[in-house]
Amino acid sequence: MTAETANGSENAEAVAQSGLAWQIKRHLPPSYAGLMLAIFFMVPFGIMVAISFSENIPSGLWIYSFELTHYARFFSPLFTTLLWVSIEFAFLAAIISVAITFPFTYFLSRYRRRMQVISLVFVLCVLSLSEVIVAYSWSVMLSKPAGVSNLFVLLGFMEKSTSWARGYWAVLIALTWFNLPLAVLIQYPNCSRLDREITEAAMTLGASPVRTFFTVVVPILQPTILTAFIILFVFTMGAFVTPTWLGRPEQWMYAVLIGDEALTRGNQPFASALAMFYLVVTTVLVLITVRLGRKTNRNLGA
Amino acid sequence: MSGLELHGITKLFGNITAVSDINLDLPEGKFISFLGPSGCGKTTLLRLVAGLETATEGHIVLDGEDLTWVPTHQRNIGMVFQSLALFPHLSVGDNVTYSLRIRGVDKRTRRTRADELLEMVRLPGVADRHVSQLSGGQRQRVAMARALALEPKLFLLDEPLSALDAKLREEMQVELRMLQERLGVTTIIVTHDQREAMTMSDLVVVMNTARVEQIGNPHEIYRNPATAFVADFIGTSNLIEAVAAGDGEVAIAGRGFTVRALPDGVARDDVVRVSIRPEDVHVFPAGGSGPNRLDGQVTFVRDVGASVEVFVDCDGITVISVSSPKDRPDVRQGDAVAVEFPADACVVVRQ
Repeated sequence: MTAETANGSENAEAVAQSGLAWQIKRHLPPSYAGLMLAIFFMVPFGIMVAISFSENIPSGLWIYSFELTHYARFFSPLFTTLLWVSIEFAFLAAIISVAITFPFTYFLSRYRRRMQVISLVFVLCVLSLSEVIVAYSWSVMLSKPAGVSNLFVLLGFMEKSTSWARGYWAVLIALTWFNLPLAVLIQYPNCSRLDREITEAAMTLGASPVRTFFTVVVPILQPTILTAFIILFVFTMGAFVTPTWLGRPEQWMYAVLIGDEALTRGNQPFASALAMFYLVVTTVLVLITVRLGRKTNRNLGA
Repeated sequence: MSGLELHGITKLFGNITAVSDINLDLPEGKFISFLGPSGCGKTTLLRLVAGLETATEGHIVLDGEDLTWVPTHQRNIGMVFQSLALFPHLSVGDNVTYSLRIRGVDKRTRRTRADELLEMVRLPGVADRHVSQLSGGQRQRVAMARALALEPKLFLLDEPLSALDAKLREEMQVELRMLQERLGVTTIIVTHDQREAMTMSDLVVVMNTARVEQIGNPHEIYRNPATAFVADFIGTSNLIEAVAAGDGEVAIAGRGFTVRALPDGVARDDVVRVSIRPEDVHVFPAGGSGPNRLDGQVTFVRDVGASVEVFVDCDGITVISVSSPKDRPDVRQGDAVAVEFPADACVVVRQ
């Protein structure tokens, strides 16, 4: 009897211990995510917030304090104009690249498996090119001595070759081009998951392949298209090399401006404040887009 | 000529033959099943009729019009897919009237028609619901209503009931058959379930390895199988090796048996098989004699309540007999017995 009781209490202890172990096991994985978020995101973000309110010491240093001088500077026309330029570039580059890649990605996902794999490997190769290489390649492609204008001269469309290497269109083309492989890879998984029988059903109901695409494929994959747009928009908002190389100062997007303040002018607090502001603007725009997407989704359902 | 004709249809996928030289003449207004095991080509044949695949060779003719090169969306067919393939972005009503929207029918007419169609499949009042709010059986009905919205010439169904549980499936079979009779639309269903095919069809097309094995009404297919495959695939059958001995006569294990007429092309001394349904086999206690009998020993008795199965070993030939509990033979495992095959139940099929 006694032995049994002793055994019983040992068991209870073991249960209690395993209960604790279980508790730890259960809570550890989620807390890992929290920890990573804190170390790599919250702490640097906090430091940046603190710096953005600090007093600037020329030559790249600062004294922690609380002043709003840096935030007050945004309202100069230079910064508001360039904010609009940034948003315009990001919006257009995202929308054009999604418009180009969505049909491509969808029809690619209907090909034979082998063809898909080969194409995706190729897309992945293009994605591995750095922004530097892409921007440099476009600056050559659009240059006077070696660019596409020479081809147009050859074909008789133009009199003399000319340089398009700097300016609005050069920046927009390069930003859009740089987005293409990423856009394909974001949209591919959902495109390939769309059941073939769905489009076949539309065709048995009298829809031509084109009608099927616009009345069935696009509406069903609308959330995917929107997701791709948002990711590319945010991604393009941070463009740095492309506007620096292919743009004139009028096309300098915010990342260039922030880099210029932090590195060239050595005004860390103002650069931080600009970054903060930019972050808020981007977040607000993304939230608006998501909200609009939800609304159209609901309308589609009704 | 009205109805659907398939002339020499062959379909290759790479070097795999999915469908091989199929000729069918399917009358208008009938309920037809393509029945066979998986991989026999029945779904490919249906997809060829729908235009979702193009035939490598052959012609498809509907009511005298050659459909072979007409694209799917101009064929005027309605199809229910295995996955149902309802549109997830549309309400039930908009799913059902999608084909009307494609034809440019206005919203109000569509709304009325949606209610009519849902009424027809006995699912009224759900037009405004979302597809995801329906049960499996309800979605089934929506898929049927959608396929029938334009009153198609052909109603095609690709294993539509396979996702439902057994009881619901049987209910739907009866309902589908009644719907088809009411509308009189030529209907082709693909299935691997012989019970399903027998329940609903006017005409069963039994397929195996890319070919048609037999075409006939359910009774014919069951009572008079043309091949050993059909005898075995439709229901259960005792398939016993025999040697043709003459007109209506064979030898089984050296004994003479009277059977139904030999099929064409079978000559004396050819090795054939005799197909006999378990419910036609009679089991007697050993002793006594008579024609068409084999002696054997009971190896197993399975009493499943509604029926009793007796397994008899006759010198290496296993014979199964099924009887109702009322006619239960008085035998036990190990008993010496005799089995009798009535002559008119013995169908000779080629090896």
